[in-house]
Amino acid sequence: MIKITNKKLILFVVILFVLLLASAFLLKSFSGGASQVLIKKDGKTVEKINLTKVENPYRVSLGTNTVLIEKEGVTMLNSSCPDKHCINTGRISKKNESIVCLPNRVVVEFSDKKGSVDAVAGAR
Amino acid sequence: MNTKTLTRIALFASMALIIHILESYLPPLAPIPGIKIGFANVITLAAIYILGIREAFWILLVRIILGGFFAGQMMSFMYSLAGGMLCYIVTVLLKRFFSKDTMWALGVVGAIFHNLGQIACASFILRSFSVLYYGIVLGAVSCITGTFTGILARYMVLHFGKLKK
Repeated sequence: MIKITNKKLILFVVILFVLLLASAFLLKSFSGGASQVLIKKDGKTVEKINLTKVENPYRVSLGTNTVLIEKEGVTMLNSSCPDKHCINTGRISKKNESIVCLPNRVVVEFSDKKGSVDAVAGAR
Repeated sequence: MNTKTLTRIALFASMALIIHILESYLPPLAPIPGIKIGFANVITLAAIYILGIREAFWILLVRIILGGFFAGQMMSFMYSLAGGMLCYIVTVLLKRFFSKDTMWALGVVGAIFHNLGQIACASFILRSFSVLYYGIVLGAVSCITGTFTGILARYMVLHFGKLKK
């Protein structure tokens, strides 16, 4: 069996940290724009919006949350949750970005038209 | 379970609970939601070494349930439970590979699996995989916060040796 020493562990943790940080960074910078927006509440897709067809900005109200839809992206305007993380996320426009409101179980995310995310959403 | 064990479990659980509550009042460390140092895991990790695996389980359970009442909403309780349990299980499984000298690394393991449990719980509740990307960021942060809590737990274990009996 390999002996675990402090030196090896430090090396391992540092490598893991760099790998995770790099992959997070790569995922963020290499994601292109997306047009199909899904708004989910309690795990169900309640709105499906194609951003390229949006001309004038409008709001979608979910009762607990209000989402602003614009051609350039999507922003959470209002939420009844205590922490307001979803509002602080700001506007999202890239494929890997999403707005998540955990207390109200609201997710705003992008999907490819034939991507796996869509298939999962359709199956539920 | 004798009185001494019971008292020790109660003592550790109350320490963990106080840390848990105090930490929830701290301002967020980074603009990314959900990031905290996870000081409460210091107690869980130290308890696994000082008291034993079964005792640490009760400490964790008491801390999560009462912590949910005192500092948090129903939803955060679910995430705490999922994260805390996964963290506990993996830490216990890996414990025999780590001596008291290297046990700080279990803090990292615990932190990563705590986040993994929470992310899994969140993606199940939200029926969405978009939180997974967020998990990678949290994983990177776990490496730092976990090292920190692991070192603290190691100090606690070393000093508790003097209080045995």
